[in-house]
Amino acid sequence: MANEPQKSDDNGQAAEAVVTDDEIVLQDQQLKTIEDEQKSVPLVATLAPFSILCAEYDNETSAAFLSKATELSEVYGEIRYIRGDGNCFYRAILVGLIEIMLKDRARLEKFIASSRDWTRTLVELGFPDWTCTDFCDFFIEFLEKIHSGVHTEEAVYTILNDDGSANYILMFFRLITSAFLKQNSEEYAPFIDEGMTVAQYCEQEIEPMWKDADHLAINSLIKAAGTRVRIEYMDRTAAPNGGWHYDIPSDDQQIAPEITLLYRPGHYDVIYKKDSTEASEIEN
Amino acid sequence: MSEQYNTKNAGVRRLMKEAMELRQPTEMYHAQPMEDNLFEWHFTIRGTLGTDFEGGIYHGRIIFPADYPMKPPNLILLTPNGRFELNKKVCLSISGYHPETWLPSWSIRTALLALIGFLPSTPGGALGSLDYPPKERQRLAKLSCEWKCKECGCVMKTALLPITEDGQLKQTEEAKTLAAQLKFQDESVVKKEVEAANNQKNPTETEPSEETSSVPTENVEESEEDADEREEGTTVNVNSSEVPDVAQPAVQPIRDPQPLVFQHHAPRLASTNFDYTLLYKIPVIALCFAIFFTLLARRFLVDNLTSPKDGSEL
Repeated sequence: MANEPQKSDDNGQAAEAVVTDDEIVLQDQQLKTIEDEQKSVPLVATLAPFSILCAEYDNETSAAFLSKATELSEVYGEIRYIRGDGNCFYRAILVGLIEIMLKDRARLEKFIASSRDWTRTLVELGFPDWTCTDFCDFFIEFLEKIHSGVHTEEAVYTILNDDGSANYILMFFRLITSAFLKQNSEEYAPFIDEGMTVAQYCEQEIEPMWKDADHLAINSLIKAAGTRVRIEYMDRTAAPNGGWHYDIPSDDQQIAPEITLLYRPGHYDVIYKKDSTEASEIEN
Repeated sequence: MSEQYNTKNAGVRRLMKEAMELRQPTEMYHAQPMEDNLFEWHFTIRGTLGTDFEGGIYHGRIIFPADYPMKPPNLILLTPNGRFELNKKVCLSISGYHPETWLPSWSIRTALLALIGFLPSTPGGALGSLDYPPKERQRLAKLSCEWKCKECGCVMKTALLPITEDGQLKQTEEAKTLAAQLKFQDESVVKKEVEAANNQKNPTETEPSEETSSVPTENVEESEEDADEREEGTTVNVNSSEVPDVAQPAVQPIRDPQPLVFQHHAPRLASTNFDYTLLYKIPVIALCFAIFFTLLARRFLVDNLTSPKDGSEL
């Protein structure tokens, strides 16, 4: 998923592609079809038993996936599907955090405070206009309404499934990812392809909507949001060190992750351990 | 107006805030929503000093998608200007034609400044662009002051604050910087993202993505003939699924000593390219004809020399 700058030999001489009206119309239609298909599933689905994942595969066409799903179903009891619209990683983390905060008021208060800090940081880092802080304000207002009880759990999920509001909240997560990278630009610059600065990378890969999160974005968001995440891979080749899962941050493996994601090629969903109540009690 | 719209909707809230921000006209731009529709605005911009658009004041519409600011606004010019076609969506990397380069943290102000910055750029065959000679643009710029919008009734010469050197310089600089930041990405990028989105939707199935990807690939190939090297380069990328997300470095405009002249647009290069292809096409076609006629002639000669009846079967 690394992003190599696409360079043609005569970059400077390249003329803008000549596109006809018909092509634009066709392309619009294709994009619309895909968007409609995406929108036919909820942004954030309700909890479903893990067995639903096993049912997606069969022994003939996808034996490897089936065996992995069956294996995971011994540890994980539930799954929450996230819409595959390019925002799934950011949304999965958002949902995972909100779920924790719905149960844990202290954590909620802490997160509101750190969100305010991020708002200030964004301004300091020179993010454009008032528009960036508007995303932050919207998110903080949402958290405060959870805190004051205006938003019930049911209302929270309604908002997380409303495209307008949910994406406005999601932008906060993209912005803090970008801000974290910019803050630590010296550390992360070597991981960005040649010819691009950290700022350019953020503007092209992190801040636009519907852009998939790559490893750099994943790492940054998890650190920026101050959480611990385990990613379970359905595909052994995708996991580092040939393992099945990967914990971020990877410094101290002793602490249990707060959020677990299931990675299938190009997509993330949130999954829950069978003894999730016990696990969260230990953490708290 | 606030009663009509759901103020809990994030996009509506955002548009209302932007309307407040832009309430007062400035020297360079002004934009306000239509009275009956928050998702359609009218704007006025001023052409920058020292360009063919100096003295020109141009009016247009902004159409917002329902999920603004997640998706970019569409800009449409109404005043004759010689750079953009009228009543057609403007093809800027910041406008609706290039949703992948739009940042939700940009605003209408950003879009207007970008448009001001793009006015003097070379069209390079971009959609909805015009390449009128400087004299005609200057004539249109003079005429534009008397232009009146039939819909909102505003007259150009009074639509903006009177110009002062200082104010214009400051905002022109901003427009230039913005225009330099923006980059053009060709349409195949969108098509590639279409593929990516599809792949993501069906993580375990590969067939559907192949079906849809075949259509965009065709498109690219069709336009390849009259397009340029860059288009050909991206065609390869569209075909190969292993090529990672496009990240066209925005270095080009920054290196450019004059940020307003976009090298991406490659002044007049499209036509020279076309000549190059003709240079080999014409000889090849001529050669084909020559071979064809030689064979044809031989056949008739053979027919005449040997038995005329069996000749047709040879």
